[in-house]
Amino acid sequence: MEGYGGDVISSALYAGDIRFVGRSFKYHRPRGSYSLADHDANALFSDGTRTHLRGDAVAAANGMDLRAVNTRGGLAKDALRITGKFGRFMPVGFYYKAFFRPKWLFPQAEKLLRRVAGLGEINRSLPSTCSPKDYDWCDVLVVGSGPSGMRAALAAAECGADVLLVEESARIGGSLGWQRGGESLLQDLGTRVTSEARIRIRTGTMAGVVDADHWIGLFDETRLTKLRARAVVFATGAIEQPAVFQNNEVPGVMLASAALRLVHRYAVKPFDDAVILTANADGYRAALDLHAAGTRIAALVDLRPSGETSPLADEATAAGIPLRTGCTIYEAQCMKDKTSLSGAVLCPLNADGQPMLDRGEPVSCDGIAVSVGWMPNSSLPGQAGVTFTYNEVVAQFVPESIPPAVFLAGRVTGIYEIDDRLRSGEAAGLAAAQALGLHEETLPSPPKPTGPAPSHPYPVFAHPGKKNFVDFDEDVHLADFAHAHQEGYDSVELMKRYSTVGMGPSQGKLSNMNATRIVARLNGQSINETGTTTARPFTHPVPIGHLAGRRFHPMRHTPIHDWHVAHDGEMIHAGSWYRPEYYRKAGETREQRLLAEATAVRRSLGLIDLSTLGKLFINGPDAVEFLERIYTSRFAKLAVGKQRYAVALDESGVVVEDGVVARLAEDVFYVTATSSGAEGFYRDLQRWASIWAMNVTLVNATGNLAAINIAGPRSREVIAKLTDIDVSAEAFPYLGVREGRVAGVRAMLLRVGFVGELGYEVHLPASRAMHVWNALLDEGKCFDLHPFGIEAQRMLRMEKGHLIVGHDTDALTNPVEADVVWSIGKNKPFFIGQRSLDVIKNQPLERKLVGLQWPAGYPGPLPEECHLVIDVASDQIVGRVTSIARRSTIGYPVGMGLLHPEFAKTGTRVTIQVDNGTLSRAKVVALPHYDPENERQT
Amino acid sequence: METPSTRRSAVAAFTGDPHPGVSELAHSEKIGLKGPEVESWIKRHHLPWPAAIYEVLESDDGSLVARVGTGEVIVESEGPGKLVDQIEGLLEASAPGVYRVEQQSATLLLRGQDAPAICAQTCGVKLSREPTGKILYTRVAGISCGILPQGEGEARTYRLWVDYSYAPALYSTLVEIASDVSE
Repeated sequence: MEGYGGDVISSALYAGDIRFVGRSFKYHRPRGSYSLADHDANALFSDGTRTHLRGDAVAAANGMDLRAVNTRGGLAKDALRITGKFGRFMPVGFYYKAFFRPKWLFPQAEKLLRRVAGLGEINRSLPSTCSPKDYDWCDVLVVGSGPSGMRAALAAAECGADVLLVEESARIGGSLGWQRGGESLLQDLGTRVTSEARIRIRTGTMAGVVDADHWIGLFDETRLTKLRARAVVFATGAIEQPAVFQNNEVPGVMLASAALRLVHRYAVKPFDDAVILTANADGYRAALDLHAAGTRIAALVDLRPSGETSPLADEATAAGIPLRTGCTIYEAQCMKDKTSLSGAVLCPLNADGQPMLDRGEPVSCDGIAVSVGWMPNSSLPGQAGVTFTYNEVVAQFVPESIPPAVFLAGRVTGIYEIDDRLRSGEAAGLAAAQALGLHEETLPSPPKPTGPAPSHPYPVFAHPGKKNFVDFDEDVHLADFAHAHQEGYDSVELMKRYSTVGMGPSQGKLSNMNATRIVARLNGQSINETGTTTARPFTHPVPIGHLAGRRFHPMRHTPIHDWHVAHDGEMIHAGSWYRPEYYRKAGETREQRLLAEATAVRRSLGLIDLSTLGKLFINGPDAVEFLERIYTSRFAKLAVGKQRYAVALDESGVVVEDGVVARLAEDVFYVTATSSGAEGFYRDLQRWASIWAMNVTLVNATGNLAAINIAGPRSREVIAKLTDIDVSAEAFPYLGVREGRVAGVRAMLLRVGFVGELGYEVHLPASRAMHVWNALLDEGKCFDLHPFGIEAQRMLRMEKGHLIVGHDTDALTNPVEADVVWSIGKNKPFFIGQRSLDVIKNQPLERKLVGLQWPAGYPGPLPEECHLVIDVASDQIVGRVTSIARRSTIGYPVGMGLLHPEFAKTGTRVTIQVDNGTLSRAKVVALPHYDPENERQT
Repeated sequence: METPSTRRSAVAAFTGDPHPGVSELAHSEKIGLKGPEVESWIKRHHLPWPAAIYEVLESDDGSLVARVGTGEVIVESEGPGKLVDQIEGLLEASAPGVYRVEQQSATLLLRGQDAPAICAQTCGVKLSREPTGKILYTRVAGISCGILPQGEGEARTYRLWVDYSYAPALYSTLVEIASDVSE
């Protein structure tokens, strides 16, 4: 079928005489276009790629291939249309009350209902795309480009504000684009707004959410914009409301504004023969416009006994439009398949406003246009903190209290005459400018809502057929309210959740007002006493992809990253860093590679990139005092050129960090910390330095320095060839630190033994790391120097009994349990955690870090880290495995664990439960497993 | 003695300039000074000293001096023999209360007609409003950066100082967004 540029899907279909476009959620009743404003969810489509395309909002495009959602087997032959016949078995809330007996039935029924319920289907075979997200800023955001919004934007811009005007439709103008008499004003205001340099306009953009401090989420077809405005004007207008009568949702029944949109925006004649149901002047305007467009008006039915008092009534009469006052549509009559109208039954109303059924008058028509009232589009202002109160004069909610820097204009405030709307917009724009200090003159008073009321107070008519719908999305009809109320759901909040009124895709835009009226009447209360539900994001449904958008999860690269990748490093996430787990080699498994890399270090030489290590400087006259407060050790007598292992506790005595403290000068200390804990530890150091007001200068050099460890018996021979530092054992003993050059680059050399072998750490500027790495590899070739990854390193250090904080310790491990009490300096006046440690030392030990060992070739299952050690006799947990190497350079499996002291004695046999319930048996041994005399690393 | 060939760019893996609006200032060197005596030391040696924290001065040789704390500056020079080298030389003498800070952050440049759109997608600060002559610390694409806006109008450039280890992630993200924006 054909459409025109500027058509939306709904208008193109309607112009092609397709009135039946969807089926309802519960009963699968035929539905047609109702609002043409995206205020209903009758026209939802899928194109095979995207689903839930909104027919009133999405532009028609060449080649579109559309299907209605919520159908099985097509729109006409939808297999689930049969549910409509079983409506009486599906009263409100039926799924809470049915299918419980027998007990086995409920899960089956639930599965069936879930399969049947829901609307569109996601095409899972499509690759996910990334929609951009961006930030934007403005002085004044104006939401809505109707006459009030445009006037507000101009007023604010003329004061010097930077204005952003957003409009959810494709064109600016709001109701000026589809209500009679709007053309010249639209032309005038539209020209001024588009030519004003301080006004930016975004059409096709919905303001979906308002958050604190005027953070507003804007959604268009492609992206989410996170806008920060200094002031906001809501000119969001009003939403025309339905009347409730039998078959009020059959295709051919629509809002009068929808019919006018078809005429004025899309040049489509909506009906040949129409009945207009009204309670305001808008219905008369609609009748006259439709008449002018060639529609025969079979009847203009006015709910008001006195009818319309403006000249519009005479105009209608002069045009030959039959008028019925004090009358309603009792029932829309439809064809057998309910896909189109055949007529309407009109009934006069008695003094109580009830239809007099004995005086029903059938009228032929193919369309019914409804104009019985309006509801303010208050969702966004509500999110912004505006409260509303029901005004009986205009029979709608109007603003009651408004937070600072928020302003409202136009019909959302209950004002309907065009001159008043313009004045309202100007007042709001000037007020916004004044709030920003851009306007100093006295503000004009905004117009107040006055009668006659454009909304009927109760356009709801009962019918025994129970197909008079209040909520078209959820198929909630009038009788459902009475039933729910009988069951005790008598507040709007309970009624909403029990009946699901307002919970469909249109979020109550066409149902909440009538629902409130109905609940109020059932309770015998006023509207204000009844209240409304809370406005929450989003004002329209938004694609989840927009909310996800482009995600930023930056990972850190060491300076040697590219080399690792190029040399088959198996890169893994280690906290925020990429690190090589091991280096792949053809024909070898991961376990083989780990053992090979570790064995190479033990026998000869290995090279590992340690650039992720935390690297901090603590400088200044108070550096010693500062370090002695932070760590458990003493540093006053640490000589320049020496380093010491150091443990830091928190105030409850828990081990939180460890590393080495190296003294480079009297007042210069270089400190290492764990890769994952360094940033947080540095922040703590800054905090303590500030609290103690000490004369220290702290520097976090973690990203600025790289670190390379060359380890193994031949390491001295290699490093000696590249450095000007004397690395002989006498000149550079274990735990020494020197400054000099390596491969021509300024560096620090630290003699440490994390992996339990002779080794040197080279700490140097990050940009020079690749050069030094390559130099070490070149020089080490003759000793078969190879890199090793972090898993081999873990194995080696664990054989040596060196703990990893956060791995072999947890959030409760104290230094006694971790067996690092030896690091605590004697007679220290204070260090963080000292008082807690004094208490801990006097309490029974609850667990202890020990070594675990299995025999070579152990035939049973080996545990993973975190598997539990159990006392088989008492069936109690007595510990857990913290580290394990299934194959080690020692020749048998070894590990570490935290065990209850009773089971921690050397030689004890312990039982560990593995995943499938089988048991592993190990022996407790003293640490380290490897080189207990420390001959290798010193 | 160290030669220029020992230095490797943080974004060396990204060959060429994939997008003209995003590039690295490849030949910049930086040095940091921190400590309670930095201000007096700098003034004693008649070096540029920004009066306010976050103020940035340009020296005679085009080097940038950014004051990033009460007693902390970062200096950037393009090429040898300029202010950074001069400070390195001066630090060989004793300087109590003045501590040398290794500065290896990468310098990325964001400029051109797509720069505003790239900034809008990556930074919650309205950079176009930020004055020149000041450094701003914020996050770009989730990564902490120092940002120095330079120039106005079509010549507007944003100089980003980013940790060496985060530079590859930031560079590749900016290039990806720049490519999307310019499509």
